[in-house]
Amino acid sequence: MKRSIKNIFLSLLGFSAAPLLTACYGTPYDDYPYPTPTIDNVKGYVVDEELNPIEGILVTIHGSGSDYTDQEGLFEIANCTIEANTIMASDVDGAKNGGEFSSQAVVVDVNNYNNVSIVMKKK
Amino acid sequence: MANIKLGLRKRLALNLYANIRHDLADKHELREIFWESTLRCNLNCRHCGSDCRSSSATPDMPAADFLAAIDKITPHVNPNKVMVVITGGEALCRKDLEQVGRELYKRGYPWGVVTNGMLLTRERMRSLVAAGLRSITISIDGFEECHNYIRRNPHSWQNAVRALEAVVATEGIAYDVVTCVNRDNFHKLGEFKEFLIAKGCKAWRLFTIFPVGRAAEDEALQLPPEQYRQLMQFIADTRKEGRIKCNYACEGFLGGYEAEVRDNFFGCMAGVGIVGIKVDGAISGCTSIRAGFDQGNIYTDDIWEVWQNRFEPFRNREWARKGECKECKMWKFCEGNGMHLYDDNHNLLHCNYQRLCK
Repeated sequence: MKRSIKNIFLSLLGFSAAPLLTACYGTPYDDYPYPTPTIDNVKGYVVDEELNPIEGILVTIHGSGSDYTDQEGLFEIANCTIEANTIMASDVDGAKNGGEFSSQAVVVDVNNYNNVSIVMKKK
Repeated sequence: MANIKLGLRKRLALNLYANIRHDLADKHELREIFWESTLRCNLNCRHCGSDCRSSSATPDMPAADFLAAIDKITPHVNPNKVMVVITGGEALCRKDLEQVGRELYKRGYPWGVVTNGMLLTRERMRSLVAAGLRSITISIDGFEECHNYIRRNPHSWQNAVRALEAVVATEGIAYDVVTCVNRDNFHKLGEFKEFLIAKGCKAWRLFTIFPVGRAAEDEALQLPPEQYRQLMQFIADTRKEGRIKCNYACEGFLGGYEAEVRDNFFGCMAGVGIVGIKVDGAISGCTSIRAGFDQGNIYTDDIWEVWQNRFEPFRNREWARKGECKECKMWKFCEGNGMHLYDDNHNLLHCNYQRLCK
């Protein structure tokens, strides 16, 4: 007898044919589809090689958002997704913020996304 | 009250399911991967089957090695349908857990973790979810005095309850609380149920201790037969009440209590739908099973080849038809209980059905 017919008969008797997958030391079974997890907000700061904060740097996480650093070099990008693991810091205002800085890419550490530090070098 | 004896309808269903279980074994479609990520633990529990302790002599498996094994499996499965369960020891002792989780997520695997809650703050919960966590189980063995006695730590209960609060506050995660029922917490199960419901907990799994590891040394951890039967009835009544989802753990054929205390009929899925990777690379059905049943090692074997071509003792249980199982009328529905209940000489340690019949 095909398994699908056996499953149907079992259902007619009032029982489930599903196997017991949550083992003694397992967790509740869950499978796809599931929503893309978000990291909350990615926060951090941008400094130069002397560790001075740099204002006006455009910090972007592809697919999530962007922010400009403030006077203290701080930035915050809200509701980032798990795929958003690279931050790009770009100097878009030239010498206005004390120099021209080369763009910098940083990989977000999932254990430390609340305090990402980016050091930019002058061109 | 459910009787230990089987009614006609249930007997018919069990006969049918016995057939289905053989189909499942023949097909052995992989549905779950257990990873014993560490033997380190921040507790020293009286009932630990792993005999874990704070400074395990066995080093953690490098994440890269585990992921290499996963990559051997991935081409052959739909990873979206294969759950990875990370255990220990205490899995949260691993600082790279989120990195591993993220790699699993990228490969399409939902994953979960079993934890004692000591290290599960709201911050940690957030980072785990951000790394793709889908499912989590927290161990809470009743109220504070009993839990701390078993866990041998005066802060363990507070941390476990804090962990539960963090989990309940997180949307979209499958979770449950797992409670080891013993002579100390047995009489307060009703109160503890109310406590969990008041905390917003939606799912509760109860298990009884099997006599391996440290648990074998402490008789107070074992329930006498009368209390074991009462436990089954408590679970059945709680399920009918419908205020919190309640299941007995996976082990044991339970006679008339089949499908009364669990969502599914009994059937050990170790080696049939579940593979376990132990901390030293040994491949087994689940990480609770003794070393005598190891089927290979990820450091010397291709885990997919092992899954496809070995695991005979898990998929054909005729070897277990000996001792008290040999003449047992329930053999067809049980086939020798869960694999984790066999000692190193392949002898059954414990029969749940016989315990209910006493």
